[in-house]
Amino acid sequence: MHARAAASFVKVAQQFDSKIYIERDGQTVDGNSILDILTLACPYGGKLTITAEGTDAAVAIKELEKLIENKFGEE
Amino acid sequence: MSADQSTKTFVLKGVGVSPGIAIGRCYRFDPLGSQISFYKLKDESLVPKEVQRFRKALKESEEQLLDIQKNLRKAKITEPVYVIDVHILILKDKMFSNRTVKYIRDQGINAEWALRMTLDHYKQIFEGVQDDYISSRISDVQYVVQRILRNLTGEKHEIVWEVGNNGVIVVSHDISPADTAQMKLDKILGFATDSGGRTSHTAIVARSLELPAVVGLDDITHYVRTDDEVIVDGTAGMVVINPYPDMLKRYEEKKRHYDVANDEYLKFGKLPAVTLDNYEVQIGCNIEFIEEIPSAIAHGAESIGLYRTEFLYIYREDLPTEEDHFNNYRQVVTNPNLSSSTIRTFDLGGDKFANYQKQSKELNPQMGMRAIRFCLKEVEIFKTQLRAIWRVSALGKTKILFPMISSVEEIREAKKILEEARQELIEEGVNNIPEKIDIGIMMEVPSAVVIADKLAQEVDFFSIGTNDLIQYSLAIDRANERLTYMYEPLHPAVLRLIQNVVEAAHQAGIEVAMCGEMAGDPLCILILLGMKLDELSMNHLAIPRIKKIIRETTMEEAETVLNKALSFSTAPEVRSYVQDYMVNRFPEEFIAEED
Repeated sequence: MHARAAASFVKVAQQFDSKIYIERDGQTVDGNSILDILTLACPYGGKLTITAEGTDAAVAIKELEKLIENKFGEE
Repeated sequence: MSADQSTKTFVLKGVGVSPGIAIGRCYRFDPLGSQISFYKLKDESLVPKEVQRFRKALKESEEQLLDIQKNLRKAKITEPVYVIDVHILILKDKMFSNRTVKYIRDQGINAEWALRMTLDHYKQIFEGVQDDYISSRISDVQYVVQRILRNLTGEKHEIVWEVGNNGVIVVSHDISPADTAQMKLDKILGFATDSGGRTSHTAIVARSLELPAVVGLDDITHYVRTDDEVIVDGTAGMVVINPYPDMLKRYEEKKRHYDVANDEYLKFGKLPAVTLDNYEVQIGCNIEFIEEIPSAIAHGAESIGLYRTEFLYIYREDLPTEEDHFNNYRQVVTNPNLSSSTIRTFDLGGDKFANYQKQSKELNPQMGMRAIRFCLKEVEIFKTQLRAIWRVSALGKTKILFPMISSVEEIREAKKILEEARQELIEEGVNNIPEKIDIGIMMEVPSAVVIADKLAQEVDFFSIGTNDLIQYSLAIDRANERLTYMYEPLHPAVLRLIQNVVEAAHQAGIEVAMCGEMAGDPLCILILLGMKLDELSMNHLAIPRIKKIIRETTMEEAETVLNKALSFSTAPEVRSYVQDYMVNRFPEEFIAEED
């Protein structure tokens, strides 16, 4: 994932109490850690699985989905 | 400093990215000071205090970055502000801080040492990533670590402005937007850096401030210390460290000439390019960055004859958005000092686009899938740019220029896509999209020149790109050093091609410009004037001299020189005639090149 996209992702993820994870090819990282996400090295168009655990998990997933659909909210 | 024996003179060659000569004392800008000490904590009881010290430095670093970000936004600097976002998020990354704290606790070491170990840890991880873009992001981690270290050692700010009242030459490995945001720019005389190229941040800042700069020097930081005497020759791409007295004198002399010539010529920049018999030529400037506009205007540009947009695509990982395009273009077309701005759609090959890299290894990219050819294949990428151009065309006089057109079909196809982009904007309810925009094509492929009369029926103007036209028509690879002697704008064939374009344009009643290097070559100016080109667009530094010559000649004289030049059969004959004529006729303009 590109640095700009990773930054946008973390900024959204941090708004929630839920723990957020990103999984790619069997490797799972913390969705709140920009360094983890960067080193996941997901290429453009690559597939990711996002999971959230916690009271606001459903909202979190929805918001992150929106972010990805909007191509990481390019300003 | 005494002139002791150990003061050695070094001459280093790099890439001159901003012209002019600067002479002054070096300020070694080093974001990571070298006096960092690593030590073991005396006993375990000191651990909590050390952790606290680390957390405090984290907090301070974050506050500073937030401040810088605020200032960058205010200054409307086009550098991506998101880079600083990334740095802040790294500072706040728990994985990063917890690891450092763990090193302090487990190993009983000071925060500096622990931070160093964290950096090494990430270095290893990033190096293991296949993707070049990702692995080079370690530079962001490094940057953050340097900032924290600076706060740990108590050096709150860089102190560029406290050194030397006469200003300094900043020498550094590289300079980031956050660095320049903290510098007192009016205390800087010039820049010299180890890394970087024409589009690096240092280069852009230097050009916008009109300060000499040389980048890509590899290891200048190893040779120079703060307070050393340094010469930066941004025109020649050279840096001299500790010049010996004679050399220094020569450079001071050179600098004086340069400055005087600059002041003298700038006066001509303000005047219109009108011959003594009242024939006027429009003078434009070629730019790549919006930061170049103020110097373009200061040197006398009346319009932007060529705005190259490739920069928007290079040095970034993702594609520029419509807003990225729009925000840049807006600042060009709305400038009240410019009569019009010609935006050239991007001239890039697939190698610059991450998604196409693999399939686009080409043996001869100059003649490959690039410019308009690539755009007609990747319509969506193309349309993003076209939409932004339509939108800015509502805000100021805008012309669109398509590169590398070689046939009538291509321009028809490009126009079709341009119109589709317009329809889409209207359907989406975007207001104020004009009915029409001036459409032009680059005349740089010989086939286009041959059918110029047909192409003239399709467009509103031509712009002759001499650099490519010369290389394609003379069949010389510009990258091949063994052939550089053959690159000759005054080749009779090149002159005829240009004349053919101008005649076809004027017969069809459309305007014709030239935006290649030849347009700013004072040696060629009478010939181009004689051909009756409507606009000449050039590097800003060339404008005053070109204007001066035009103002001292007549159309009659220009036509005489042109006809004589066209009468020769060989390039050396043309060159020797033109050279003799120009040097005799305008001795002042051509003396400077002797030394």
